[in-house]
Amino acid sequence: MKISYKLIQKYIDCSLSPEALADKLTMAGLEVCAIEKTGLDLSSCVVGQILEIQPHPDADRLTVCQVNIGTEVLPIVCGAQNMKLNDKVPVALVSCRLPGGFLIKKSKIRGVSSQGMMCSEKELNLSEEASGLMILPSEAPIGKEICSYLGLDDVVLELDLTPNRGDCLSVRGIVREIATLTNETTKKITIDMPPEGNTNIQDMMSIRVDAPDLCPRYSASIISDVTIGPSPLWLVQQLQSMGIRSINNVVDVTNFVMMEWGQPLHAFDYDLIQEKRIIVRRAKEKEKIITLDEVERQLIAENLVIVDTKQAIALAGVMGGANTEISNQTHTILLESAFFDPISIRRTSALFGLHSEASHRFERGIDPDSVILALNRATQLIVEVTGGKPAKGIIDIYPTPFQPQNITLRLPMVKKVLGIEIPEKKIYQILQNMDFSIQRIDEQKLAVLAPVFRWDIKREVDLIEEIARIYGYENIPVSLPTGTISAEKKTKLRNFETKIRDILVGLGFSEAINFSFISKKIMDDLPQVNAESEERIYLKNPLTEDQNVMRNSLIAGLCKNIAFNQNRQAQNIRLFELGRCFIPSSSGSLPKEKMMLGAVMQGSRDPASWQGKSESLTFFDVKGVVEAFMSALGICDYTICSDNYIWMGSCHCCSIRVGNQPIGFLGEIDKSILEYFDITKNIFGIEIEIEFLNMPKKRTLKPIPKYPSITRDLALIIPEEIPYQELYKSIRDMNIKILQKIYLFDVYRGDQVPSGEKSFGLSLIYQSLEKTLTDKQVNAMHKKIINHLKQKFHASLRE
Amino acid sequence: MLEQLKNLQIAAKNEFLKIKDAGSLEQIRVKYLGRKGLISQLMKTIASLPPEEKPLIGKKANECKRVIEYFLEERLSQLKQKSTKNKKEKIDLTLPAFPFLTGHKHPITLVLEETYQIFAGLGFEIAEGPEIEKDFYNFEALNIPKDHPARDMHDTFYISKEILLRTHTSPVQIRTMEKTHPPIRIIAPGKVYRRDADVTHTPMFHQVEGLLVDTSASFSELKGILTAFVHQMFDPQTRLRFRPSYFPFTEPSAEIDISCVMCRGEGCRVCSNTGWLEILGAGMVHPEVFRAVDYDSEKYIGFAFGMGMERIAMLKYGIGDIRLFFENDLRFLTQF
Repeated sequence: MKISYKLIQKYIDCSLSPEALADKLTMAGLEVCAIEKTGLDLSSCVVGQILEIQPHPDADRLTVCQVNIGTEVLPIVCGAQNMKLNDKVPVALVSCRLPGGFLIKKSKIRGVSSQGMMCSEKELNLSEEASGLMILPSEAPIGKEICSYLGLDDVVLELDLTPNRGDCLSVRGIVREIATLTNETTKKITIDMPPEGNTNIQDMMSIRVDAPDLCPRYSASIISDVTIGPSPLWLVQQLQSMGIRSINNVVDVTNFVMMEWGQPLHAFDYDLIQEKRIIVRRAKEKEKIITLDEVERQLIAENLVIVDTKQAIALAGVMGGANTEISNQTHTILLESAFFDPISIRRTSALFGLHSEASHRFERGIDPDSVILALNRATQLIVEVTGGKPAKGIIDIYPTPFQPQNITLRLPMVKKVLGIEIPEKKIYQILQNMDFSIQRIDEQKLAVLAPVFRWDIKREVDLIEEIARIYGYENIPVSLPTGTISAEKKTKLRNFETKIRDILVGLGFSEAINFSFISKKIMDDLPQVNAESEERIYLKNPLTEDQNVMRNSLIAGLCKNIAFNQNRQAQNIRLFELGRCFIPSSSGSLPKEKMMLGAVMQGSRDPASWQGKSESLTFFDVKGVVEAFMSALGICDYTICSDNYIWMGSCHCCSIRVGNQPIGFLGEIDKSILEYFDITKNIFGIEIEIEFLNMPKKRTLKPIPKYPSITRDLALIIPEEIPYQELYKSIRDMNIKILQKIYLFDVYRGDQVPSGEKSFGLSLIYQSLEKTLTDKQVNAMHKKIINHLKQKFHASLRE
Repeated sequence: MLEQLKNLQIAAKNEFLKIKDAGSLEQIRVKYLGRKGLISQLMKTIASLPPEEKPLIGKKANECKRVIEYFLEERLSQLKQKSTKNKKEKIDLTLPAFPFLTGHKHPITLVLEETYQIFAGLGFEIAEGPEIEKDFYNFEALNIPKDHPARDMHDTFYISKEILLRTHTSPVQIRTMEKTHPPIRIIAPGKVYRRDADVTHTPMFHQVEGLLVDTSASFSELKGILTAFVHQMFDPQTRLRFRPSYFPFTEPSAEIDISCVMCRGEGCRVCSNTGWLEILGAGMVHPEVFRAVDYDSEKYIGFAFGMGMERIAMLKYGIGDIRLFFENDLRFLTQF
């Protein structure tokens, strides 16, 4: 909400500068988010007097005027017709920038020099009036800056109000707050009711409220003989300072009074109301209304409507109906001022997507006591600006008046919650300054009545907040909690995640964080991905089509990151991400969230150096990353075996298994995914569900061997189809105690090896914890192994 | 005889000093100290000396032998040092190193891990909750009923009518209180989602929530905890400003500004010339929240706070654009 500093001064004598006032309001919870000086752009726009009007020699519709601006007389070519000789008008001088952004320059219009521009109200952003020049009063001093003459040189404070402070959505509300903060008293707004007409309002209109729960108070006045037209300048300016454009005199008054009192008002064209009977009721199913914005809206039963005998004429509190809209022909108006139920208004405005200044206030709760005050104020002003006559009396339907909340405040609670003793006298002063009334119950308790407009005050803590707020949060001292600390350990998972990150960073991977939603299109375009993930979690209201489905894997995001970096000439890319993936579960319950680790690598094994080019990555590099990672975590009970994974499709891929349970995958990312992202070089990837890694591990030291080891090499020719892992396992399964380590140092195919077979060069390292082994002992075991392999795999030794 | 020994000693020393490499030194060693070397020959002549001279000359001869041995060793080590020195000078040490691939943690992770440590020191543990959340936990239990204007403060992504992407980490407060009993001191870090994307907003960002519930706790202590946090996260000179604000799940509520870390409060572009930066929301736990988890609000009292980690990382590292966090540009990531 915007409020002008000048306007504030009309309601309270505030000696604070705009900046100091803004600071005070901010520190009381009414955040001033901007302080804007208005009128600055119009610095070279002055009052001028037209001394001469000549027809333009070369254009029928233009005139050439000589305009006195005090210091000189300027020739100005003008297209308007409404000015007379000696009229005073606003003149925008050369180099003035108008509110719309238009810059005034010296120019020639059809051959005649023009050194400025005479302006309409619209051009100065004062109103919609654009039919001719703005004619200023004859006493306007020539040469005076138009801003200071019109009082436009103001400071506007923009407040970012929290939803609980609906009572501050008006000048009156803010001034009330300023009064509390500065100990000043507000100036009374006097409402001079014009002489009433002769016709009793009851004879002109009958109003019935059928839904008092949704409309606790409904009041109306009638003003006849009105002339709809432009508003006087003061009204235009007041609205302008609050960021509201002038429309016509009646609408302007209703807007002005809404800003002044926080009470939304609506004016109907009285003559268009059928049979002069109004009912306030719930809508009927499928009932329709065309609202002021010319949209036909189908209503539901919970919408509150104002109807006449024929049709709905307003969507209560949200928007009026087109059928009873004020027009230039309007002669008599019915002015409505009511209290509508906040929730009902909120639902209706949300249903139709109609958020207005009026609905904004109703939703937050208005002051039920201001309904009539605002009605009278608006009636008075409408009579003033339209020349109309009010009917006799008003209608006010308010069967069950709101009662102020009675709240018990225990003084020790103030100290308990705030941690500081606030003197009782101060508490009294703060609350009474804000129109709370206080009665003492006993030594420790006060009965506090909150004013009805403070819908946010319902409980003791609300009062304590009010006390703290006005006392000043800055005056509450800083202390540290003294309470107990629980010994329970909940932090383990995060510590584990930190460890995982540390390991990957050590392995040369940088951490990425991607959005948790990806594009459905990725899934659709990748057939194998599509097939396996039928079930997906869609957002009902995504921001963009790129972000419409919750990810079930980190691979897509990481591949996208590779594409991004590749397009920026990155060479060796290694990225990882630790984040949740989402798996649907039965309807009604929440999806499963799995913490996953994803890693991708592309490029060379090592960064380029002057020693030569490094080799390109292969599957065995990514396997090395997995093994190093697992080793750093202290996990050795796992296997890596050939498998399939949707993101690795037709490429080399393995699963990481603990027992028989796959906990993750590694391999080369499928080519279709590279194509999708326009990636040119192979990517190797890993994805692991980390829940399975976080197993309790007890580390117990194995004795460090005291005796030397003996190494025996072995070149074994075995059939191509036997995987290394099988060979390895088979040796291990022999359970030879002194066999410490098996190390593969060569894989060879070619000369001396028959086709269909391969040669493995193995080093077997023997060592005992108890003694130094003899050649004899080692040879025996080595021979045993060779025989076993010969037998089991039809292996032979390569000579 | 003594004269002879002395001369031998001097001759050996001079000869050693002339030698430039270890190989030639060996020849000289043999010449003096070898089995048939000059010393040995001299020793043999001792046998023919008169008995009264034998002890003295023998002693001197041995001394002489030791001195020559010492010269030899010293010269040998001098030569060794020289030869390694010569080798070193042949390499251009200014050539670039053989690089290791180095990884970098995400700046958000860095500020999160720092936050964990600071709060661990204050006795806070870490709690977690789901990112896809029920309306009940995200709103209702936090005193934000349906049709409450405070829902306007959250642009929410929905999965279904009742299931949504959490808009803040506050639901973890509810889940933690449901599961445990006071005293509670937790922080709840995690991703949150708002349907908002522009220069200053991303649809996903990170928050850290804090909650303390005990039989006693006060706004003054809330100020203490947050002051301790800010002083450790930024620096002890940072000033804090607690402003009244509104959150449906706390009462009294506050927003916390810190003096601008860029201009030290003098006013700059980052703080929009106010000298202050808003970084935290906080307050005393609302009785309605305790009611939702069946805590007796007469018995227990607590405070909660929440903050956006992107904002903190931006201020700490001078990052101007929030979108950089999620582009995962290596030129960005490798700076941390």
